[in-house]
Amino acid sequence: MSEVIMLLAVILPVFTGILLPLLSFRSRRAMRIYLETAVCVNSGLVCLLLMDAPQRALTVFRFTHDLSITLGLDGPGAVFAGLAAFLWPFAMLYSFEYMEKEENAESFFLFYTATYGVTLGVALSENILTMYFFFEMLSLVTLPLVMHTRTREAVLASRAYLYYMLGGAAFAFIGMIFVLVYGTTSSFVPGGVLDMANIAEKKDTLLLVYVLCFCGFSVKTAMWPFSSWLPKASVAPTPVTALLHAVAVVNTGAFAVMRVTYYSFGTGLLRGTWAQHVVTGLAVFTILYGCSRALKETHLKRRLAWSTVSNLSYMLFGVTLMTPLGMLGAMAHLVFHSLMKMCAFLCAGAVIHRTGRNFVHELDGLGRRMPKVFLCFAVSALGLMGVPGLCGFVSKWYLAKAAAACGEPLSWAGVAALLVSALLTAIYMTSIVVRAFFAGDDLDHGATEVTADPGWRMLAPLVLFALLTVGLGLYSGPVVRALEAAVLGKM
Amino acid sequence: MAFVQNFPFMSILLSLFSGPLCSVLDGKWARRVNTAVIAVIGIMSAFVLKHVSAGQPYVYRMGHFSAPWGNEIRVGTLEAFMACFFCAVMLLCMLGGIRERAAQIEEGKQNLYYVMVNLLLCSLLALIYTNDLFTAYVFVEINTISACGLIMIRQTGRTFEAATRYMIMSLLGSGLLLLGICHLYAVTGHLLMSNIKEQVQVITATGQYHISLMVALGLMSVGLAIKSALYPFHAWLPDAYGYSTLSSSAILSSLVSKGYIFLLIKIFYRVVGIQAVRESKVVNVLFVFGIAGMIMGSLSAIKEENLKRMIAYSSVAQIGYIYMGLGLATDAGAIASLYHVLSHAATKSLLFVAAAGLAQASGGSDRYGDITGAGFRNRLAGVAFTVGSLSMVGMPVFSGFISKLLFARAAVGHAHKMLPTVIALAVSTILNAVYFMKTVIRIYTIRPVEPGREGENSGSGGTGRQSTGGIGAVSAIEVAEAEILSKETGRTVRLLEEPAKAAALVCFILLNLILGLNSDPIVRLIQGGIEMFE
Repeated sequence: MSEVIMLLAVILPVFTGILLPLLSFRSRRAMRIYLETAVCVNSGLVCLLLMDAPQRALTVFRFTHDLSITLGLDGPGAVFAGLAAFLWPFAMLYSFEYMEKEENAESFFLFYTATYGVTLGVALSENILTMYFFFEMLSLVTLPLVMHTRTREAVLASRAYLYYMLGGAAFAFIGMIFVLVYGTTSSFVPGGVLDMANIAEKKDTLLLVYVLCFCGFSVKTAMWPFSSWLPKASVAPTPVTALLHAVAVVNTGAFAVMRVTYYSFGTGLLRGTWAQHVVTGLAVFTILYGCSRALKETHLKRRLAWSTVSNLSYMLFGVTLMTPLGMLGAMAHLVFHSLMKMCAFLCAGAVIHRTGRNFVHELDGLGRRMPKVFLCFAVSALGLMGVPGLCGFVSKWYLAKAAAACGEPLSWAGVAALLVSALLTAIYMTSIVVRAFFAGDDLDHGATEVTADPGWRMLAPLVLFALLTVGLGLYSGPVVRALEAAVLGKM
Repeated sequence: MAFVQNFPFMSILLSLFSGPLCSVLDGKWARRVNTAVIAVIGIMSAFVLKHVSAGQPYVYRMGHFSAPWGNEIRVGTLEAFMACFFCAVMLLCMLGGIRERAAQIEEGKQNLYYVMVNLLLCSLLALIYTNDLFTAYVFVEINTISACGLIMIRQTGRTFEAATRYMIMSLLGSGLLLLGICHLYAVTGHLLMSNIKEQVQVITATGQYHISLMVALGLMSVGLAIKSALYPFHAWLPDAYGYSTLSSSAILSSLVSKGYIFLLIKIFYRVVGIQAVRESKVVNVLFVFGIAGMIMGSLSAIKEENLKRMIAYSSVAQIGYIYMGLGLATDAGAIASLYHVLSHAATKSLLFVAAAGLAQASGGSDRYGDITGAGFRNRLAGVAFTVGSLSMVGMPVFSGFISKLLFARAAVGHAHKMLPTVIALAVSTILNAVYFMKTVIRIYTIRPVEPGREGENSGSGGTGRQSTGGIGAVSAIEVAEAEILSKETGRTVRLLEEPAKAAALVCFILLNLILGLNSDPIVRLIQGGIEMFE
């Protein structure tokens, strides 16, 4: 029975989305209730799945005799699915208020809801073809969201978005083919599926293919040199940037890289090879690159986007350590970063929604007008810096520990990059907070007089995420243990 | 001999003689005869397919003269399937282009068009079935002449130029093919494929005439490559496909070039023998130019400003895929190529018909700037174009994904050609994405309007691309909305305004989905067909 729930959880949001224009709601209120109910029910389904994990995989459809769309649930998949299921209802709630003034809300919610199902599809993929399928679908269903405003800028951004996404998938495709041909099975098996006897003399080719495949999948995580789409895509409405381009889409990239590295190619083959060095080098460089670009950026959402670039590379760095500990660190950062970055983006969205201000230098003095929003922002800023006591510290700690355990020069370089990046993060995040709260005496506060904190639908998610950032930082035990069980349990 | 075994011969004769019949009818009746002939031949081919897939391939001696003097046709599963598939695609192409034909062809010449189409079908069938190399040559020429007619029938300066170019390049190609056949005849003394193959095996065993054989193989390959527009011999293609009437472009791109490719595959397997082909260097040349075509064709398409010509240039890239597969010189490569022949035929004609639908909604212009927002004005064409584009980009679910998969799997394990193939596939996918998805985004972009009309733009969200299931759901409100939008930029095309085109588009989409979702039986069929070649 619980196998069918997996399929339901993937399909329900997609159908909810498709039905939306057909139902053509008269009032926005009815539409909201319909959407929020559907999303909550779906999250409930995911909860059921997590509590009663299906033992068998469910083959939904066969493309060819040996390639099928198959859903299954294992540790990392459960973590990712749980994360999506937790975040989506809140993001939905937030977007109701955000989209109140916007036109075309219907098409927005259509794709916003459908993306939920596709993201779960990635999390619940049992084999590499299924993951590839949902990976491609994710690019397609999120495209209209980037295009949403239909301005020239949005069209250009969506073009770049699609080129990068499909291009990345094209290279990921190469990796998939090699796994299909040289693997014993296409399913994800901890430790990899490659048939070692078959590939002995082709090792270098295979490593090259791994690097191509890694790059292909990490286009979605906006790794350097494929990072320019992410800041451009911040032209989309903020709920999209927050949930999709800080969490769902980019995490899908990191998750896919994890799957390919640990479950398809296998770390046994990759550890200590030039391929590992190349991908670690790319990840470490991107950590610093993202931070530096964030520092330079004056547009609020784009700055956060660059920060995402850097943070996603933390995860990639963890993955490329090729040790279970590294994967644990990456997984922890995947969860914690999502909470913190959601919070930061939702705050930014609240500011844009209430004031229409987009640039960092326009935020002077807003802290007094919107104290709750900026307090939450401050919390997430501190969390992203990795201040002890907040959850960002926990994941960074695990990453650094895993890197130190590896003891290779490149992993030490990674630790150094983590430290430098913490410093840079401190500069680019706190400068926003400082501007908002301590604008100086010569500021004319009259200009912002009418501004106030947003309504409860917007406020509730960001307060919750800020509280979680603190709570999980102080009391990280259970979550980390759950992650350990999920990641290490089966490796 | 079962009666059904006569069907291939009868279908060739039927299409041949319905040509002259059409010439004395008026346009309307010629169209009906033509449609009926294509449908009947398609059904007959289906029966033949059923017959041969149950048993053995058979050789049909024309007039019961036996080899080596008589003329033979040979029928295996692959031949029958191709005939059936070509008929289906041709029927849909003809259905889709009725309006354009009526508008673009002079009243008195309507029936001539159907003469040409019947002759073309006849030559395609003959190319598919024949077991005689010289017969193949004769029908290659008939094919060229009728294809020229299809281009010329829309009488503008552009098409005259295009037809002339097509004629020159095609004749060069057939000249080379003829030279190759002559060489083979001189070396082996036979014209029937099976006899030549026996002799070739004897010759290669003794090591005689190696150079002559290679020259013959090279000439035939290059000749057919020119005729099917392999890069760098593609210069005739964009004009020929871009300026001719819709049915012609669709048929030329999806069927005519494929007929030559099928002949080449037959020459590889049934005349020279795949073993000898594999050992020759000719396949490497095809491989390299195939890859060059994949890249260069797409680059030209990116630069193109005219929708139809863009799709035409994309054909160059797709032909490149097919030759790359042939260049691998393995069975898996040939299977992938043949699958791509099907996939490309289904997709490219879909794109041409959809593009015509988009142009129809944009004041008849298919310039890139004019089709902005056309996906909202002609929903079905928009969906169809999106499906075709996604298939070209290799999105799972659609046919293009399966052919990409087959190509990649065929390449993996090949000693030297593995990495070039997979990387070329990836790069070409990106390039395809650039021009096809750019167009898809454009047809779903709303043209910037004057400030006063902004409010009217709301509500017509991008639901059209969601699924093919939504086709029927175009509500009256949406149509009305789109009408307001299209006041200046074009007009709204209602779903049932031209039922034939709508039906053709829906069938093409279904064909694409069938190829994409249910590929296993088709791949098995192709595989069985190739084994029957031996």
